[in-house]
Amino acid sequence: MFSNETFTRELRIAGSTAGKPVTITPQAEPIYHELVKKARKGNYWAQTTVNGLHQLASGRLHQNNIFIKPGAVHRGGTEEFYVILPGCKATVEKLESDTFRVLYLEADLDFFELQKQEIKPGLYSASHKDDEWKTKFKRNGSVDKIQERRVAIADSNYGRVDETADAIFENLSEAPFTTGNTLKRTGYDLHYTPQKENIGRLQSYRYAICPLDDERIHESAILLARTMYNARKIEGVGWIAEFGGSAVLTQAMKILAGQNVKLEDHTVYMHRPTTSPNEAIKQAHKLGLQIERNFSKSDMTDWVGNQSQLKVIVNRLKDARDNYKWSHAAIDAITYGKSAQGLAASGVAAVAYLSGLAGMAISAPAIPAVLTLVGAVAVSGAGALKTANNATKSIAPKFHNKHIKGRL
Amino acid sequence: MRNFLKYSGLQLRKVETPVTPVGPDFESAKRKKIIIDGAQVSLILPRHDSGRRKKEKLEPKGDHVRVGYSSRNISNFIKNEAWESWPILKRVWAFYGSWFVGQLANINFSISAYRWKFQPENTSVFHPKIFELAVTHFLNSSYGYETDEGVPWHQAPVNWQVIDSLPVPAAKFRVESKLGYSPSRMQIMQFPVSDKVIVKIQASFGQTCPAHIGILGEEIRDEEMQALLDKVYCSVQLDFGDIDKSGLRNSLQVAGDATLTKSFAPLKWPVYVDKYGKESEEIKKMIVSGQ
Repeated sequence: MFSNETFTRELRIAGSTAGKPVTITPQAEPIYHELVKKARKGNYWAQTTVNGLHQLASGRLHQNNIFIKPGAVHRGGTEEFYVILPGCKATVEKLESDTFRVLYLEADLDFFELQKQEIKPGLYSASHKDDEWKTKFKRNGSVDKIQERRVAIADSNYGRVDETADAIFENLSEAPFTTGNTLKRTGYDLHYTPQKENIGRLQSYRYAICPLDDERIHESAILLARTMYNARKIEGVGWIAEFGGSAVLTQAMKILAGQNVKLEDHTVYMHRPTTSPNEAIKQAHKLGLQIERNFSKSDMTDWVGNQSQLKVIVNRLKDARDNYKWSHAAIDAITYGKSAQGLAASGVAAVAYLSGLAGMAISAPAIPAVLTLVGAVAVSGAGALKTANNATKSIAPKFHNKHIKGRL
Repeated sequence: MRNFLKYSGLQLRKVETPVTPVGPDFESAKRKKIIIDGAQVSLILPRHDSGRRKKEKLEPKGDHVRVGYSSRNISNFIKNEAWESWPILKRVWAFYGSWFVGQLANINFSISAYRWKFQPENTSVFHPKIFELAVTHFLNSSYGYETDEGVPWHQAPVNWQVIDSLPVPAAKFRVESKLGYSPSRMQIMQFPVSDKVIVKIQASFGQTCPAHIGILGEEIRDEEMQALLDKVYCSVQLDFGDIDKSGLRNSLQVAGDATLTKSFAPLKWPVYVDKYGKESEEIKKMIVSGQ
């Protein structure tokens, strides 16, 4: 009481005039100030992070928000949770008085440097020169303001950015709204996610079927969401995810969908996604993206990519804005019938039929299996050769290119 | 012979740096002969092996490459439209770490032919000074204009070496790019095969593992890669056979004592040149506003 030390109240960083008050503990304060300083200097990742912290004032964002992870609940009604933001993980406490208190900030204050070292995700522009793809880091993290710009969301394990740009080019040129020649002429923007582990696939099946849960790529997804948000006024941007990039794109679309952003001029395509395309199509519909005849392309051996294909077909038929017709659905169902799952399912159905179990009326859940059986039978005759051709193409592409391509 | 068990493409464990990746065997590689615009270029090239990720290779159709008839490549040169280029060959050689760490790096190797459409009239690139002029203009118009907030992005030619083993003026150098922390090095050898056409043999190193593990050239050592590349460059031979060499003879006579410069310091960049090789304000305006 008689001490000379002045009493300091915890700094209130947001919600002082409206919304719920957000305070910060003295331990976390210096890091917060550092972040604000970086944000004022124009570091876009820091701006995103500071804004993210301030948004706590509008309530605990949304429970659905994928980058908020619940933590321990304490006695007395306080609750801890953490928020993942670019270059920063914030642990926040929700007090019983309905105010928020930022407990710690674990920040990579040199995030920008790490981005330049290609250790953290970032946006690059790729251009074709002298038969090679060269990339350039974009400091502002925004897509070039050029109409019809193509943006690639790459898988994680190609190596450094230059290698990635070189390796994914063939995949990008398969997108229905672009050609290899156009890409070479105009270049493209590349969202790069460096990571040692694979995204999705059978190796991490848990995340492959629920791409929104994959915490390792949240940082990348938030940066991509910001890029997409800033690009919303550029006409005709095409977002192409290839392999594991599908998970990053799905998460980014989810973040934007949660904020009611619309990207009605843009298109999206997934090349051989390694995570559930059904989750992606749902988010794409919410954003109002233009979807071409083909939303994704999978080879017959891509287990995960084909897995929810029937659900994708159903979801696309249901969506009013999607220009997807019954005739498309029929063809896609037959294509699905040729995939590994389709063949397996039709095998099961055939066995069931032969053993007399199918003597009963076909139950509703069996309809997809029967459909795929029909599909598989339809292609089995003349299509057997083609199926074998496709199989070699996806299992041994080099062998296929050398010995089979163009000879059938 | 590369030890396929020790240096396999299988990735079963994580990399511990430092590590020296090992690539294809040079001794068992075959000599490749390509006739470009009448001149026979031959060099020893290991087979294409792009490793884990598929990358297309490019091989000439047949032995003869008629420059000017095949499809023209689109290159992102400066917007002065001075150069035409034709890709001829492209191969990738993967390099693997020892005992199941998988592929770590690769060399992207390519051969292409170039022509300066606005080369001064009645000159031949067989003349050492014209060749130097052409190389300078080539570097200026393909790399000299690129900047990162005013700082030139590339530096070239670095480590200029004159190659005496060929009957024409020939040189080898590096183009270094130092943007941020991702320095990339490209090695280029250039020599003329006819009065107008220059052949470029280019190789660049790529890292196929993420940057957390280490940087190629530092923790991931590139000695084996450099050694292979040096052998490939040493194996380059040029033979004009019995075709008309009057152009070559004439220009070498005119050249007299003129030889290629032994030292060529890196050019002063950024520079904005027009199609004739002169500095141009117009091009500068166009590029600066476009960036």
